[in-house]
Amino acid sequence: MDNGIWIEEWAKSLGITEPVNGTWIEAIRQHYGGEDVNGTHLMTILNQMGGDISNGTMIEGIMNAMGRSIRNGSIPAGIGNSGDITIPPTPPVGCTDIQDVISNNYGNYGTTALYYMIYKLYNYNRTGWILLNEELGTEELQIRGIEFEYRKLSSGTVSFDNQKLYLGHIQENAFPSLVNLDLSNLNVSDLTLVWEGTADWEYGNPVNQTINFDNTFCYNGTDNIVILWVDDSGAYTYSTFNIRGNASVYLGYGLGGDDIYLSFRFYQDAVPNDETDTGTRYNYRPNTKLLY
Amino acid sequence: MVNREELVTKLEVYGTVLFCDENTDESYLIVMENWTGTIDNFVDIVSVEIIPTYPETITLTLVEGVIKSEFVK
Repeated sequence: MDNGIWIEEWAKSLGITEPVNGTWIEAIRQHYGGEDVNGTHLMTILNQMGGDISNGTMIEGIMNAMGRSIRNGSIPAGIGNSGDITIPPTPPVGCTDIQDVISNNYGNYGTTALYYMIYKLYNYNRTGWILLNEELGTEELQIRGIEFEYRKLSSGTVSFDNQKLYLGHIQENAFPSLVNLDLSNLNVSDLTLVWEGTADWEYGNPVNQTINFDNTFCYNGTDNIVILWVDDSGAYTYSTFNIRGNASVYLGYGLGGDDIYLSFRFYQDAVPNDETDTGTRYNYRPNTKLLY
Repeated sequence: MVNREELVTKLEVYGTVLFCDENTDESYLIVMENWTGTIDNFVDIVSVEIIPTYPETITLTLVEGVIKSEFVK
């Protein structure tokens, strides 16, 4: 059946008469106080409609109560074919979606540029840093973006393409002395490409950079998080027109601190081999905030 | 205090200076291309001209004739 009609019927079954921002699913979300709908809400709907799940899933129970049927008894994800039902885009069960919340700062950077994560004096960079479970808490949360500090002392903007940002769960509380660039010598799971594109570095001393993810990441509330930045721009920068202009862009900056082996970095001009090259660990992290 | 004019004169014997100057308050940066000498030739020069003021070398690479180096206090 048509997915849009089904969602409209779902909304109307809740007493909603008008879509919000042009969508019925947004109206449903607001009906539940701004939360994204999940299994708990489906069960509420099922109960309100007097249905039961004795012969299948909650969706089937709702459909039966509405006099509908599900083709082949399955519910495919994604864009539904005619006769199928597409599940609304919701976070994984148990992953709370709290929107427009910024975390505390993680990182120990100071005010000078002796240390850096992305070193754009070189063509290719790899860097990673760990956020500990004891810092993140135990709540399963949907992460929508990241904010970090960098500095670029020369005026104007410099852009580097082919940037990738990954998030994953990691068991280790610190990096080993050598870190495989593909993280294959670590216990990493759920490594997800959350963003790729062009990074525009503007003047700042320092300045915050916000990256809103293309793909959100569900933190499981148990493990640590590893952030992996891959710079495949194949280009570097320096300034010849400003005595105090900077020759490099520093992602993160400052003096080393107490973040014992919570980061690694790697840079070179030649194309890296991520399967065989290794990075070196360090005791600092860029000032980082997560956007939920 | 780095004598930039003297430093550049010594470096240009071996290649083309792309950048040679104070980078930030904390660091001094040299980028060169078409370097015809060895890495030791470069080290000999900076040991006299830069290291007394910026004693820590945080990067020094020579790849395909391109030298990139940064020194900090």
